[in-house]
Amino acid sequence: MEGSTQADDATLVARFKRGELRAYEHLFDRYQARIYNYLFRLTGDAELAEDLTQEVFLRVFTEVRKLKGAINFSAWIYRVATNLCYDHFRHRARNQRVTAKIMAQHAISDTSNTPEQRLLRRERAIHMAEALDRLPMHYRTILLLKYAEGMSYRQIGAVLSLSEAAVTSLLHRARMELRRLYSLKEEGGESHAVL
Amino acid sequence: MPCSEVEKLLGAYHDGELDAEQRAHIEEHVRHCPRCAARLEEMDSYAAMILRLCGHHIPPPPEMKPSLFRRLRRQVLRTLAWSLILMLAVIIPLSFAPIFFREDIPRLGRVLLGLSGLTLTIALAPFFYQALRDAGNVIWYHFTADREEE
Repeated sequence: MEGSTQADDATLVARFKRGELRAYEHLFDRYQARIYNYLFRLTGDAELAEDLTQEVFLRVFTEVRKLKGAINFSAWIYRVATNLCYDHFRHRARNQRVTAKIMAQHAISDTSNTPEQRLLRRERAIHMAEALDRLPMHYRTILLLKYAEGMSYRQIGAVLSLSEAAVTSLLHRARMELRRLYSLKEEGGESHAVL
Repeated sequence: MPCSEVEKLLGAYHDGELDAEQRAHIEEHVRHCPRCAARLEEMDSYAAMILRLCGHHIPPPPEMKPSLFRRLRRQVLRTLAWSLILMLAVIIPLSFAPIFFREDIPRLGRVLLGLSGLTLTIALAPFFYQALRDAGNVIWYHFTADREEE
């Protein structure tokens, strides 16, 4: 599946390099939702995510044809999006309530039986959101790539230009840090395994 | 396998990134170690929480595509305009100065001016070509897309 998508991407990229703007449009149609959602998850700001997504596709227009040989377009476009987002926050203070804003836009469905359970789950979700927001950007990025984008270590490595061993290690450190921050939020420093 | 080693591999196990042999070692360990079993359960809950908090899929605004293509058109035409300005203001004067001012400029100066004009033309030719090609493609796309919509 991943292989056939890559082959399709490669065909579209080759057609675009030959000057076919239709191929560029197809690439846009294929990736706009994924990139927009990824950037929304990183920034928590729909307007900024839209602006950065357009910026990513303007980069696609100017940069793709400079790339030589076969490229993994999917990983490459995520890398461009990640770098643009990092650049954006290098010049501006990062919003510390990104996940909280995402939560506010999407009521989290809850099927707990009692109001007490619902309250507890809600509280834990808030603690997790706060912990995620306090994570350094590279930890937050790798956790989102893994658990929200559902990428394999190999795909994450291709996006972040890391070896699989480095991805394993970075994810381990990100989890440890998340655990520490989440535990700090939880009363008594205990983390809970239920949501 | 000691807990310290298992702990390092637990994340990769949870994410389904281990080979069969390593998986078997971890499963064997977790069956007898309540601490590592709890860590694994905790990882599950963290992953589920991240997905619940950040995994929503929101549709991109419908205005994004036309807006991108407007920005693209502007960018391409701006590049073309700068290319033309560069050509008219720098390259053409440099290249033709030795002809128009042959009385006023010494021979060596004329040769140097001509050579710099030629060098600039050759160096920037791919850039001009790309700017022209992009503008052509974008304008062609603009009109054909409009016609298709009609």
